[in-house]
Amino acid sequence: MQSRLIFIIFLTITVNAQSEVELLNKSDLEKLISKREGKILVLNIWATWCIPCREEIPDLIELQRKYSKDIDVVGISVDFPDEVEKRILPFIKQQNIRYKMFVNNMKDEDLINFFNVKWNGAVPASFIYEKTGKLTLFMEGKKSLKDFEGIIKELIM
Amino acid sequence: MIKHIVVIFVLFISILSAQVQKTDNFKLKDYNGKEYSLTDFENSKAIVLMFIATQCPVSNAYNSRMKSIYDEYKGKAISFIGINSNKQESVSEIKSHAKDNNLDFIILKDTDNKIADKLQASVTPEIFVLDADFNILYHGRIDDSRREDQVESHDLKSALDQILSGKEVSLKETKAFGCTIKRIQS
Repeated sequence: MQSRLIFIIFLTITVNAQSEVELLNKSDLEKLISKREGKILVLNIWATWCIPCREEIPDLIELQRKYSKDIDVVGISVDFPDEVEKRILPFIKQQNIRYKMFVNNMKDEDLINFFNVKWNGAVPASFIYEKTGKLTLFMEGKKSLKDFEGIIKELIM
Repeated sequence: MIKHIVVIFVLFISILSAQVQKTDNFKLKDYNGKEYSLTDFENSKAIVLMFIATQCPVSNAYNSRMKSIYDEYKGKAISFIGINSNKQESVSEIKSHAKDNNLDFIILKDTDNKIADKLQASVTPEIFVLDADFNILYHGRIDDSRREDQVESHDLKSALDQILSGKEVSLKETKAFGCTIKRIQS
């Protein structure tokens, strides 16, 4: 009985943990961009193996917290989908990331080319979409809260 | 604030601007302090420039693949030059990393990322294959998967094979995820 209970608890934790990171296909990305519901979208492409990406995330967490009424920060990890439990979830928990998180399930090149900008795939990279779903800005490399705020404030006004 | 927006706008436009088609000669020193010039390799059938890193896990995932491609093509009049443009990776670190990973090709230190800027290289690993006149014949990834056992398209090797057989490179531009080159003042 006790072992069954432990098993159920274990199962619940596992199911909950897995539901935190969703697989991202092209249609999910299109839906994410088009269904803005009055909010600006900050799409952050990152990976657990990328040190500047990891360093940037606390600023993204703060950005989401500070401007939660006006923006949605969404993360797309380009780790492999089979690394969710081993790599992505432990990092999410350690950093206490509360914003929506996906893991790329497309071919790398298909995700890079989706954005239609001159981007060779260096991460981190962030894409800012207006409330209308229009791509306003592409930023490559680690950015600070101040960098993001400078752009967000203009778009909110 | 206006100044800030203008800077961002200029940055955005520069990102959208056309890619480099050809490069001119440059000189850089290797990790032993020996200077090389691109013209030293102008008798080659192709010059493979490889922007690499010591600390980037993606670049490191390609160490053995870079070595085997180098071993396969070095005897076929193709020159290989590794370039490290990362500001935080020192010459001594590059030297020991090359030794530890059996990277026997020339590796140059691109101090102040001047050559990365010239070629608009942004990621490691990132490849530029040049002809003897320094026209860019191929630009992009080594292959299509960071996991060696999942590679389907050997893009760099295909480009080199086409060059060696006198054909035009069919896939000139490819992309893949990698680490941002850490530039000065960035």
